[in-house]
Amino acid sequence: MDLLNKDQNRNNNLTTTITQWLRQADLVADIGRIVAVVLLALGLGLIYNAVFIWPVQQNAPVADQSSTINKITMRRAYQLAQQHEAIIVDTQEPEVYAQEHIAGAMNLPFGEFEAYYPDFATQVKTTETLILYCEPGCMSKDVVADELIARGYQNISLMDEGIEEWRGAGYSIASNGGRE
Amino acid sequence: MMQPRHLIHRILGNRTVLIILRVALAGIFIYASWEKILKPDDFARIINGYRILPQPMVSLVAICLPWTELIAGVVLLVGIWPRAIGLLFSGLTAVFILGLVQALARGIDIQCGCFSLDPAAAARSWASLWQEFLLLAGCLWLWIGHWHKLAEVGPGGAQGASDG
Repeated sequence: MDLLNKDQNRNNNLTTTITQWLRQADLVADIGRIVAVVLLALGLGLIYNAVFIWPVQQNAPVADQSSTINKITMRRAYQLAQQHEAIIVDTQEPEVYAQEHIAGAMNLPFGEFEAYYPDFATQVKTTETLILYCEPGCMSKDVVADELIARGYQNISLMDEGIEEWRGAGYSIASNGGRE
Repeated sequence: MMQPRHLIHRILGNRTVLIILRVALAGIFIYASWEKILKPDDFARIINGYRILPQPMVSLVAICLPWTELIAGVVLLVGIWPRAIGLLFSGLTAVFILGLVQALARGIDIQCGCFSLDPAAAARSWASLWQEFLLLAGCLWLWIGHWHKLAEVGPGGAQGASDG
């Protein structure tokens, strides 16, 4: 009975402490203030980007044309690879690449770029045409493209499609060093 | 003889320390926001590097987060809502740390994106995490130092500076 009372007292003390703590921190009021700040930030951020950032991006065809990074369709990428006019590069992690990748693609993983780049650089000249891919919507290819341009590679194209689309088109897939 | 609890309250609620923290943290977060506001695309790319957010969320965070840092920094600098901003900055810094830790644990070689978007900036490592923890300690001090109880410790306390 005493033990039960002690447990109840302890629970009551804990509840009281938490209540006091919440009262001191006044969390409800502060969360309201934080929400106000975040909403204001979101509003200003959207207005700023709509006025100053997005119009500049949309009205910059000259910059896009002079850029060394281009978009490429999957069909065109396949043609260039078949004609040995381009090298396809998978920018996903080595484990993903090992499971399956576009047949003939090299692996230059975004997460281990520095470790893989020296070997890549010895095999691929900076004048080669490179086609980078990962998954639809991913950005690792964009980051790797920036890194390659910074290291002197001049002709880089990004392919939005990933392995599933490549497979769906009936093109060759390789896995664990083998070819399907 | 002052009780240890009161001593801790007196230290955490010290008005001079809280003013220094307020100005320093406001400056840090305003500075951190600047380049991200000017280059939202680069910042979005770095957020994507953490690989914890779906694509549509990445753009939203890249737009909203720097402005939150800027507005909260300015609000804190002028002395409004220091306790709420302390809580906000503590939460943001804790999220940054969690993002960095999960990326490092997964072996992802990433930039923090905290203060610079320069691709040449050093990649983060376990050893460099102390900076984030130091920032978190400062933010937590700012927050806790403005709790009502601490603000009532008397001369030298944060009385008058607390929210509400």
